[in-house]
Amino acid sequence: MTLTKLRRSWPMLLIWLALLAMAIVWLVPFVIIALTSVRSMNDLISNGVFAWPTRWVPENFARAWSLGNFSVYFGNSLILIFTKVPLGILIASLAAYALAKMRFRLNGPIFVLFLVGLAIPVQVTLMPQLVMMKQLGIAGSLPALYPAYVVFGLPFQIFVMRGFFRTLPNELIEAARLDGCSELGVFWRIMLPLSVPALITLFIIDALATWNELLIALVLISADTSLTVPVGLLRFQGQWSSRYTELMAGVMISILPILFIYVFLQRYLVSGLTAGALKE
Amino acid sequence: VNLNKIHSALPLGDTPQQSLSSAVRRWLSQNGTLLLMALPGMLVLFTFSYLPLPGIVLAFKDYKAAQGIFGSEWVGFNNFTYLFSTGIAWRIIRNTLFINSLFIVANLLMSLSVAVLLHEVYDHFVSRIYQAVLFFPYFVSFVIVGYFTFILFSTEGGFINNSLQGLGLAPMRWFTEPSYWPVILMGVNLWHSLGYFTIIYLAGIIGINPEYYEAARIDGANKWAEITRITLPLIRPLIIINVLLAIGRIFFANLDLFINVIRDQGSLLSTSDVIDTYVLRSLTTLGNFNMASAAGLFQALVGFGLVVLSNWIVRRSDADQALF
Repeated sequence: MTLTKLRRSWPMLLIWLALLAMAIVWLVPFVIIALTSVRSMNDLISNGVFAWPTRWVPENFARAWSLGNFSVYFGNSLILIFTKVPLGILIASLAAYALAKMRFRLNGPIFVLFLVGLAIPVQVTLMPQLVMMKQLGIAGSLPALYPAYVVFGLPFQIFVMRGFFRTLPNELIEAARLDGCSELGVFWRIMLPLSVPALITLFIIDALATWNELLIALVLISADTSLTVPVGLLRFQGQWSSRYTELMAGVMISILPILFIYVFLQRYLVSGLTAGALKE
Repeated sequence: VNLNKIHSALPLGDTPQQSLSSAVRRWLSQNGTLLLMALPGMLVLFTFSYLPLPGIVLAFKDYKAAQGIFGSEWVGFNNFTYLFSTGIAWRIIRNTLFINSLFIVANLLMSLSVAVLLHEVYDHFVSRIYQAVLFFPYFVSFVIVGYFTFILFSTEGGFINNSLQGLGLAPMRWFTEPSYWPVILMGVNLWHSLGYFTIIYLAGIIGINPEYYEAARIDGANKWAEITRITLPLIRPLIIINVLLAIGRIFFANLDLFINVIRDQGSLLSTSDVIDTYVLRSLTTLGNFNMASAAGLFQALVGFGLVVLSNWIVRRSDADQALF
């Protein structure tokens, strides 16, 4: 590169350097986790965080998985993702369809009722929920999370699905009715299949939120066999606080599913999360 | 044969009662199924979000477990008076507003700068990779974010203290120094959410018609002029709406961030105890339901007022962007 060229492109070079420095800062924590999770404790103490591992120790993962109970936490979170998330989205879609297509004077107020739910702080309803769950006899176990988690996701999901259903032409519904389709049939056979992209987006967003939710699970779950991944991670740290290597192996295990979703389904994620903030 | 349809097709009934019942029936035949479809959602929301709300009366009572919520004695505004006269209220309100303001300013300045810089990087592939790196922390659990912070700032063997010692400097006792933590929290929050705002602003910038830039270049504008005269003015509505929505939530702290990063450490509470952490601590460790309800109610009322106000302002500037 000649000097004049360099002089002309130095602002560009600065921009690249600034962005590169930021990317490194953003990635450092993940590098720390990854390097720490595969080395021995002695290696970590004597050589520091950033040294290349002197010996690979994959046993950290095995110990975190079985001794740290991660297999159980993982299972519980997966159960929630594949039962609670679809259930919540179904309930939200049903309500959203009614709100989008019902010609009904209370339509607006009902919608606001759902949206105001967004503004009720979690900690206000947490203790009464615990009492309710105790009365139902399911406090402390996994089922206690279902109502709280469904409610948690409803307002946003209804908001998105109502907007989506409104874009679908009413002629489709009229045509289906003429062919003898019931209201539920219209919803199930026509509206839902047409909304698959929106449903996938909602599924991914809610699955990630469910995977990461800590506060509600911390209060409502007590049995060790019912813990979800974030609460398990916290408890894990209590037991293994000085064993950084196993702890980071546990962190790696809990991040991998998110990384997988993030890499392969990113376009759904970005479109869904920015839907509220950007006009299409 | 749908009897309701036939009924409703007939001229309205002879007596008022008949006409009323047939009108109701007609309405139900049109909307009944739809109403039924909305019912599960309404029931769940009502039971688990609205039904607990009467518990708020505790804010005006002296709660005794033996007497129950509704049997406990009324004390008027005593709980609120206590919160404000002891200075607790001022401390948690000041911390909440100060830390959230830091978050809003830092997020705005950094995400706008990164978005503008990224726009200058013509390489689409690099830009995509970069956004992916920046956005990923948004999806990482705050439990893990809390670990990072601990590993970085831990006094013994923490990454920062090790580096300081490596450079021949004295290690710092981060966890006994409350004045550092608003800034540390700002950094952690920035790391977590910068990608989200960057993507929003970048999408706004990409949507700008490239002809504006071409025209400016022909007129001899430099990069700085392009950014300040074209890019920023054109995405101004987007900026205003995002900032207004954030201001609307300024009374609510990100509880997950605080419980995992601060971990209820008494030495840091003077600068990092926010309304949400105070309410949670009163409920769980202190067992003081009166104060929890009073602070919670105060936050809900002021916070909800701010949400409505900011939404009203957003609606005035651009109705499509309003939440409700």
